[in-house]
Amino acid sequence: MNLADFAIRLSRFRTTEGYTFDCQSIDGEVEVLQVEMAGFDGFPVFITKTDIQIICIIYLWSESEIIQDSRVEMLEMMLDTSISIPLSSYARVGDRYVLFGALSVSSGFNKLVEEVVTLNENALDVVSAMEDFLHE
Amino acid sequence: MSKEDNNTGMNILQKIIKTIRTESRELTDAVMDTTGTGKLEQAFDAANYKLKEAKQALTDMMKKEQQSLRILDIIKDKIIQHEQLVAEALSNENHAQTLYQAQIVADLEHSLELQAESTQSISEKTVYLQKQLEQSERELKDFARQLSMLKTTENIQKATETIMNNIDGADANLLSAKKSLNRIREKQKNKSHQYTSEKILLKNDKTPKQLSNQDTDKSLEDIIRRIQDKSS
Repeated sequence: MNLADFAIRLSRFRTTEGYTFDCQSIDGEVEVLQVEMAGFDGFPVFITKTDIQIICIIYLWSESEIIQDSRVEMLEMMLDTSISIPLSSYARVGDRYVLFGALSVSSGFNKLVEEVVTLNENALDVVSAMEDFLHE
Repeated sequence: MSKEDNNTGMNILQKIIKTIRTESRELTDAVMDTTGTGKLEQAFDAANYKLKEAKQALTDMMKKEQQSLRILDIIKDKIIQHEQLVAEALSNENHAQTLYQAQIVADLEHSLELQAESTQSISEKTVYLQKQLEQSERELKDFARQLSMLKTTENIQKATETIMNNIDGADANLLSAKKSLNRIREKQKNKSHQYTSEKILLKNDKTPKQLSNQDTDKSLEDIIRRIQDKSS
């Protein structure tokens, strides 16, 4: 699915839970779409695409935000909990920790919407669970 | 596919890890060879070409196999026909004809033997080519997977740079989870306050009305009782 087409369709879409989506395309070397869920206090989801997959990312925190003394404990907790988080996994891009979900490029519209919603719900749980490892 | 090419492919994740650790932004250049040409992409193209060649060769070989099998069937049919002629000649006690037809059968059996060997050889080649083809398909899929890993890593690095360049200042808070969480909690707290206030307002709104009605009823009763008392 083309990200521009997805953005148009998503902007008009309303989930059964009443969520709607604000989409914004970000100019740059690669195609990136920023999606925010209206009606859900969450995080912006950034969507990008390669030849075979669509990747949805939420940026969690950077290295500088981690309390250094509990960094290892935090990393272990991330490894321990990663498999339990539905449809999402942790990763680190540069010095930023992210929560992401990857889908096949052949995935349909509904799957992508499901990913965006689930990712946002997961991110909220993750940050709440990990906030003790982060500076104020 | 040479052993070196295979190793290049097999070590792609290690190369990505090494590149990320050295904080190189130019991932593709780091993973590709020094001549600037994509070694992995070249290997992918080579595997793709090999696959195409193997498919053509297999198609040709399968055609030959079918032709050879048809010739084999024709020879077998001819043998049956000439064996019948031998039998006829024998029943007619035509010795010369019997020998003649028997000779033809012998020649045909010899041809059959040769043709069977040829068919067997072609079939073996077909099987070999089919295995080669499957091997090439496997290599190609593996290269596609490795290329995808490489491109995804590069894409995500570039996307992150793009996002960071586009979101600065106050918006940067969007990318800090703790700040976002505090913002969300603050919002939810406000919502909760708002909800509580609305509830109280509703409650307050309702209570005076009920009290007022009760009071009115009570005062009416008082008035009636007072007048009744007066008149009695």
